[in-house]
Amino acid sequence: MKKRMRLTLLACIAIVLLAGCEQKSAPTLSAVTEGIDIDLSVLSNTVIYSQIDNMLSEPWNYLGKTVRIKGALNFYVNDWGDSCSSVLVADATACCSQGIEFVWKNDGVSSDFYPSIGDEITVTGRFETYERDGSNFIHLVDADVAWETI
Amino acid sequence: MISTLQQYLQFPFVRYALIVGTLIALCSSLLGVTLVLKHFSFIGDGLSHVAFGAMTVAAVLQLSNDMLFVMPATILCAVLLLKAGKGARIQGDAAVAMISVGALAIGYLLLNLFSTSSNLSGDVCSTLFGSTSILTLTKEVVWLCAALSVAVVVLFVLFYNKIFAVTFDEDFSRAVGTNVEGYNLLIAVVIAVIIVLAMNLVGSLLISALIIFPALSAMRLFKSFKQVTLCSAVLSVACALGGMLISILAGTPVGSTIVAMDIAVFLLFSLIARFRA
Repeated sequence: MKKRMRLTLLACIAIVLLAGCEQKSAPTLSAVTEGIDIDLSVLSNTVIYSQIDNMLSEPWNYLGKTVRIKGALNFYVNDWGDSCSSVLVADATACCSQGIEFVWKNDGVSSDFYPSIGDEITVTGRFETYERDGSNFIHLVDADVAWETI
Repeated sequence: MISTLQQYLQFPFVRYALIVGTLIALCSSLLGVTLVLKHFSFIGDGLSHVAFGAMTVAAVLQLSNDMLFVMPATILCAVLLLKAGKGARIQGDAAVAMISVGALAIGYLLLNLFSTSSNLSGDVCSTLFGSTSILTLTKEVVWLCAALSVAVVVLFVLFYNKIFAVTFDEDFSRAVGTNVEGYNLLIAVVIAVIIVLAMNLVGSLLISALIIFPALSAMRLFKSFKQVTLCSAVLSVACALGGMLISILAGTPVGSTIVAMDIAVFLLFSLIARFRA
């Protein structure tokens, strides 16, 4: 019994040491999608929702990074009367949504080519924060927006 | 799938969720055996509703860290419920039911009347069902959960023999000089701590499943307290890990997926037990 336990312990130590020797070369997110630092368009809704929540709570980790996100387009008017665009992602139960405001590249396109509210869009932009009346907000700037036309 | 999983594991909040979720599942399974044997299976539900009510009060008061209010409130209710004993005018299950629905109703009413949240129904839904709560923990909460979970496991290991004695025969334990009231108080406090932590994993409404299913599954196959406890711990951790990974990969709600895994394991163990018999 003692010999078996000793052998088991040695085996465990050997496995741990071998695992430690293995070169850690897990692909970085940027290697998955070239030019994109954080590609949320390939992730499940559960993780997308959580990632956006993390961006809201720890924005300093994402400043200047290129983010791609796929979700539903939404237009709204903020507390200061500005028209804003955002991309929304619902969580798995669809009762909660997280979204990121974005600023269209070159101030957007002509009204003939805007997608409609609720249309699925893919937004790629640079993550920045801004302050307004003492509150901090996040958004994607210089955003490229792609959507499917029927 | 391995490469996809490796991708997801690069996110720190996914790693935190897996670590904290595993620890919470381990703690809940350990005390789950005691609760099931003492016929207090539904206390998890009752206390989680109390914690929900306390959370809404903390939200209305705009406390920066709601854990400072939720934990003591839940501990107090756990002590009152579990120490009520045979002399109480309102007995076990009735007391649990009364406090459970009362806290849930008052909590939701307070949120509707005084909440400043822009998505009230979403916040309530997320708290009740734990769809992504475990994936949105701040670093401070992660450390707190990990520390409390380790403390619970250490307490259980240190006081295992006394907990075993108090669970099976309180009168005999009292007769041989064991401080039964003290150990019942300890169990009540630990259960309250576990409930508050487990709300992050599966939400308020599904906590009972996290506590009772692993214990019941283990009892299908094993008869000794130690075997049931060990098996329950292994099952709980496996189901929690498996449930979290499936929900991350497939985009399903975390709490429901974990409970679905618990149910599947319970059915499997019941089948095995039937074939053995």
